[in-house]
Amino acid sequence: MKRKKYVVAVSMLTILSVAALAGCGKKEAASESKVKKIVVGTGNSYEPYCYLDDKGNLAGYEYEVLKAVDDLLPQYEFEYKTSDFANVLISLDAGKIDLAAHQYEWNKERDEKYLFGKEPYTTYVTYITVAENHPDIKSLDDLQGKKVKSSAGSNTSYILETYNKDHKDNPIKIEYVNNSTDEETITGLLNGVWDATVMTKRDADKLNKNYGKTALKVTGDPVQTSSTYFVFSKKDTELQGAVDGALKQLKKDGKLKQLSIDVIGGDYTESE
Amino acid sequence: MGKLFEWSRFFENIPKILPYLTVTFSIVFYATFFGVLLAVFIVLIQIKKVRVLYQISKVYISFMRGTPMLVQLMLIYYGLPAIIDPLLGTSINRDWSAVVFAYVTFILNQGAFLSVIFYSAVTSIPYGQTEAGLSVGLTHYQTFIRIILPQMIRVALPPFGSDLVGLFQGSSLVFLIGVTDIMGRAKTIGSATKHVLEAYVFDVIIYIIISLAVRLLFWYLNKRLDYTNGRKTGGKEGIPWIST
Repeated sequence: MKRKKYVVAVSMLTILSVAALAGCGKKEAASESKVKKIVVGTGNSYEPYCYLDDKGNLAGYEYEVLKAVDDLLPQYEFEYKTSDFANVLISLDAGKIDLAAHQYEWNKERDEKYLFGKEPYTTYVTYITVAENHPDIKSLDDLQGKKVKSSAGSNTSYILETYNKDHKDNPIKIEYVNNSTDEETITGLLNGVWDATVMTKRDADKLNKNYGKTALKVTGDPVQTSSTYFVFSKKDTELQGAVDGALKQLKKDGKLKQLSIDVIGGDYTESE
Repeated sequence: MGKLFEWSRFFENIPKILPYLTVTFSIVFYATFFGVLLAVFIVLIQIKKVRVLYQISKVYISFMRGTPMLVQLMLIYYGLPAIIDPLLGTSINRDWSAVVFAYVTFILNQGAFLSVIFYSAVTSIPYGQTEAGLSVGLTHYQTFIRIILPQMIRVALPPFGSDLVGLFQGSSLVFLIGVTDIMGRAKTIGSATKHVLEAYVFDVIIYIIISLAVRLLFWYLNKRLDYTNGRKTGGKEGIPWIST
């Protein structure tokens, strides 16, 4: 008899504790009114676009732009969820977030899965970037057989992978490094862990500035000239329309330009 | 970037990182507390050989021990809502914050690991002990509580301690689903200030302190629970952090 009671008690306790845990996350759902809550997913380690500041709060260009967009859209209320870059779009897939913001460039692969905003909010022109003293590398062709740092799920990886499909005999060796810090990027390029990486000119300038002297240089013609957009899930056309409208207005009254200058350090909203 | 390591930055980082220790501790607390309950439940199933549940528990333990923690974290974070939400009509996908998914993952993982430790501890006590208890008129329950349990705790304690040390380190994976713990904070400090080494060094110190504290605690517990009163091993093995 007693034994049975013991088993029952333990199972009850387990069920109760799971139920208690389930209750943990439910606090926020209570205050739901006419304002629709939109969960924005962004990264946590891409300064100055999305990173955590001194106090551990989200900061950066993506956040500032979205805050301004949110101000213009009374029907929505944005809530921010940060994660590792590779997980932002997966979260959009899984329905954990409604809007992904992480300097997303348009490409065909992404376009098949997600809904892209129509209004770009930053230009994104990427170049091959190498260590200052590196032998001449001018184009992707020069990178065949060489090691190039990229991150999983990025547009650069997409471009390099597409390039490799046509050059199967001597492909570019793509090294997927996610979540790397700027220190790691510079050190790795300087001591030859990677032969090159692909980034925007402003990112290369930022790295050099923080390093203290010129360590990296962008080289050759742009690998890709594109812009960045907010990314939505396919069904959210209404939200996408509203955000695009707000972006248009921010462009018209010069606010977006101001944000770009203040946060990134230059106007990168129209052209470079 | 200047110097790779500077003490001034190291000290600046301390107040930025320390508050996030609560995240690490809460994960370890939930994982251990509910993990123990889950493990006891699993051990009961295994000892009683409850049909169906027994087979399920075997597969479950094998899965939890045989797959990387990171995969489990991703599976729970993305997969659990996909199964539970349509089934129960809930929306934990949105309602649960990332840290709750981290709790669930670590509880499930610890439940499996601890159940193995407990099970081997229980079975390490010779059946003669149970027979002895029953022969003097104790019930099965009394025999377990008074004879088996005290001996089994002693056996389970050392592996439980090293499991706990591992749990602290394992908790650093949660950053990948967007929970900022001390490891994640170090990373974000790195991307915000371009200096990550000082933050990592501070994290290392924290982990070392925690691991030493946990070992000291279990060394002490082990000594207290030595029912032989020093006759056999004497409790004079010394502090174990040097040897192990």
